[in-house]
Amino acid sequence: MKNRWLYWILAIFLLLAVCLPAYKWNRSNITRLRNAGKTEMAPVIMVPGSSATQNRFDSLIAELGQEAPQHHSVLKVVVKTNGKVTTSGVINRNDNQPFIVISFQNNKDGKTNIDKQAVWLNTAVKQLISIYHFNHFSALGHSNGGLILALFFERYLKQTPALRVDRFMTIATPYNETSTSTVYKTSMFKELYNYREGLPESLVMYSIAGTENYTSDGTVPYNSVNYAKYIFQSEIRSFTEITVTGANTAHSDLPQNKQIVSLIGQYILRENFPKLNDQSQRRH
Amino acid sequence: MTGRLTNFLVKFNSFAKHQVYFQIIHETLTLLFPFVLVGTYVDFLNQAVFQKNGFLNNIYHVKNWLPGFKLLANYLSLLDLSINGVVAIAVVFLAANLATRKNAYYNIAASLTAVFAFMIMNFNGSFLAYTGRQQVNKFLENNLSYNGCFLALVVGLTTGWIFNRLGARSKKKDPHLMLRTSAWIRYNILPIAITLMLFGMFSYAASFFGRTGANGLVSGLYELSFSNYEWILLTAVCAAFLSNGFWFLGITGSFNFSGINAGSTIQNLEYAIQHGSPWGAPNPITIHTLFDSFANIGGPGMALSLLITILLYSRNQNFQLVAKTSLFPSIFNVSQSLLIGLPVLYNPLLAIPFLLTPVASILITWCALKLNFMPPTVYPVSSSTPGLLIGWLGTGGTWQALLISIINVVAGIAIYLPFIILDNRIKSSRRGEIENEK
Repeated sequence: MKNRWLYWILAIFLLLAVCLPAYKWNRSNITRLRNAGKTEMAPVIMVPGSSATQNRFDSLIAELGQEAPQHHSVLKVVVKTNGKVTTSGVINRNDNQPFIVISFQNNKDGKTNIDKQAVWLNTAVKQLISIYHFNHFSALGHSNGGLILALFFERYLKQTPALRVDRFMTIATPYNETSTSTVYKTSMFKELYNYREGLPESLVMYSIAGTENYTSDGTVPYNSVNYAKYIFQSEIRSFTEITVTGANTAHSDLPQNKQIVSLIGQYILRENFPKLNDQSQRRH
Repeated sequence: MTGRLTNFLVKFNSFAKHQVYFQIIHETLTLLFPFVLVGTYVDFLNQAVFQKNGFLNNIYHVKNWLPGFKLLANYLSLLDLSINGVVAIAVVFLAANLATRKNAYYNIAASLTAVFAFMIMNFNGSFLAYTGRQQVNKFLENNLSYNGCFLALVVGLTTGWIFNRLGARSKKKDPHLMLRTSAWIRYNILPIAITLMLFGMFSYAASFFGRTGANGLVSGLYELSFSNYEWILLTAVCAAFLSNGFWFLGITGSFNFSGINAGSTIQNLEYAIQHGSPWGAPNPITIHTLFDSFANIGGPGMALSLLITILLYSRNQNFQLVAKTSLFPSIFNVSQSLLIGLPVLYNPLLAIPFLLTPVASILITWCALKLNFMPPTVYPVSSSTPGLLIGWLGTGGTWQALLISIINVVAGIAIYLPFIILDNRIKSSRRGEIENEK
C-alpha cells in the first residue's frame, strides 16, 4: 500500500516535471514564431504625388518630428528615368522606423507615367532592401503617390516574396483620376481594379479624403477617392476610409494638416501622440 | 455471434501460427528483438535529447548545461544510423537462415545470398541514369532501415524457398561440407546464381518505374492517390488504415503525409500567429490535425493504448516483458521495439485493433473539431514530443485538446482490451492442452 502511494506521487511528479517546462517552451516558441522573420527595422516609405519633389513631405516630417516621441531619420531617394537611384540623407544606426521618401525624376501626371513610376518604385525598394535588409514596412502615399504605391503592391510586390507591408495609408489619392462621376471608370481605375487580386491579403489600409466643400478638396474629387473601396474592400485584411474636414484641407495642404499628422502617428507610426485628436485646443 | 467470431479468430490465429513461413517471420522478429530494443533506446536518446529540435532538449535546454553535448550527439547519431539504419539487413539474413535451417548444406549460402539479393533490390536505379556532377548514392539507404523490413522478409523467404527447391538434396549428412571447397561450390553455385540474377532482374525492372526502388513502388502508388482530396475525413481514415497496414507489413516511414498538406498547415500557423489563437483557423481538418496529432499517440496503432492494455490486463509473459521494456520510449512516440517485439507486426490477432484504433481516434477528433469543441493543432511541436501532449501543445495549451487525447487513448484501450483478453484465453487453453497431454 505504501509502495502504491509512492508510485502515484512519483508519477505525478514526473508528469509535472514534463508538462510545466513543456508548456513554458511552447509559449516561448509561439512568441518566437510570432516575431519570426520580421526584421527590427520597418521603415515608412513615403511617395509624393505628381509634380512634387523629394522635399514634398518636409513639412509633414517636421510636424511629425515635433509631435512624435521618437526621432525618425529621413532618407530621400530619387529614381532617375534610367532606373538609377540617387539618395540624400542618412538612416541613423539605431532608428528602426526611418522615413524613406521615394520620388521620381519624371514626376509627371498621367497613367503612362504612373505605370512607369510604379516600376521605378519597385527598383528603388529592391535596392533599399539590399542595402538596409528590412523585410516589412509601412507606406504612405499622397495624391498620385498612393496610386504608384497601390500599383506597386498589386503588380510588383510579389517579385520580393519575403517583403511584407504592415500598413498602408493614402492621402487624397484619386483612384478614379479626376472624374467626379460615380459610374464612369477611368483607365487608371480599371488597371488598379484588374490587378487587385495581387494585393497582399494581410494589408491594413487607410484611405484619407480631405474635403473643402461637399465634393472635393479643390483638386481631387471626393468621389474619386471613394473609388478606393472597389479596389481594396474584401481584398485585404482591413480597409478604413477617413474623411477630414476643417482648416487646411486643400489638396496640397493635406499632408501637413494637423488631423492627418495625428492620424499618421496613430495608424502608421503607432506611437503615443500627445493630445491625440484633440483639435479644438490647438487652434492657430 | 460474438462466440462464433471469437472462435473464428482463435482458429485463424492458430492456423496462422502453424504456417511455416509465418513461424519464420515470428522467430526472425523475436531473435531481432534485443537488437531492436537497444536501437530503440539509442533512437529515443538521439531524437529526444540530442537533436536540435528534440523534445527533452527543448524543454530542459540540455544543450546549454550538458558538457560534451556535441560529442555525445555525434556518438549517438553514429550508433543510431548504424543500428537502426541497417536493421533490414539483419532481417533478411535471419529470414533466409531460418527458412533453410533444416539443411546444413546450403543454410549459410542461402543467408548470404539473401543479403546480396536484398542489396540488389535496393540498388538506386538513378545511379545508372544520372550523368550530372551531383553525387547519387548507389543504394537506397532509407530502405535498409525499418521501412525495408517487409521487403527484407520477402527477399529472405523467397531466397530460402529457392534454395529449398534447387539446393542439393544430399541424404548424407556431412558436417564438414563447408570445409570441402569443391563440394560447397558445386552444391551452391546454381541457386546462388539463379537467385542473384532473378532479383537483379526484379530490381532493374523496378528501377524503370520509380527512382525509389522496389520498396518505393509499393508505397508510392498509395501516396499518389492522396495527393488530391476533398473528402478529408474519408482520406484521413484511409490514410490511417493504409499507413498502419504498411506498418503492419513493415513498410514504415516511406509513407509520409507531412508534405501533402503542408500548405494548409502553414496557412493555419499564419492565421494563429496573426490572431494570437488557434481558434477559427482556416483549415481545421487536415491529415495533420486528425491523424498526426491525435491518432498516432505512442506510435502507430495508438501504441500507448496497446501498451497500457497489456500492462494492466495481459497475462502473456512475453507481452508483459516487451511492454515493460518499451514503455519509456513509447511515451515519447518512439515505438519500434514495441511493434517488432510484441509482435504487433504479423500477429493476426492484434492486426484488427491495430488498424481500428487510429480510425476510432480520427472519428472522435473529427467530431470534436466539427463541433468546435477544440481548436485544430496549428503550432509546430518538437520531434519525439510525448504523443499525449501533441494535441495540447499543438493548440498552444488548450485543455480541450488534452482531454480529447486522453479520450482517444481510453477508446484505444477499449478496442484493444477484448483482443488481449482473447489472447489470455488462448494462452490459458493452450497451457491446459499441454497439461492434459502430460
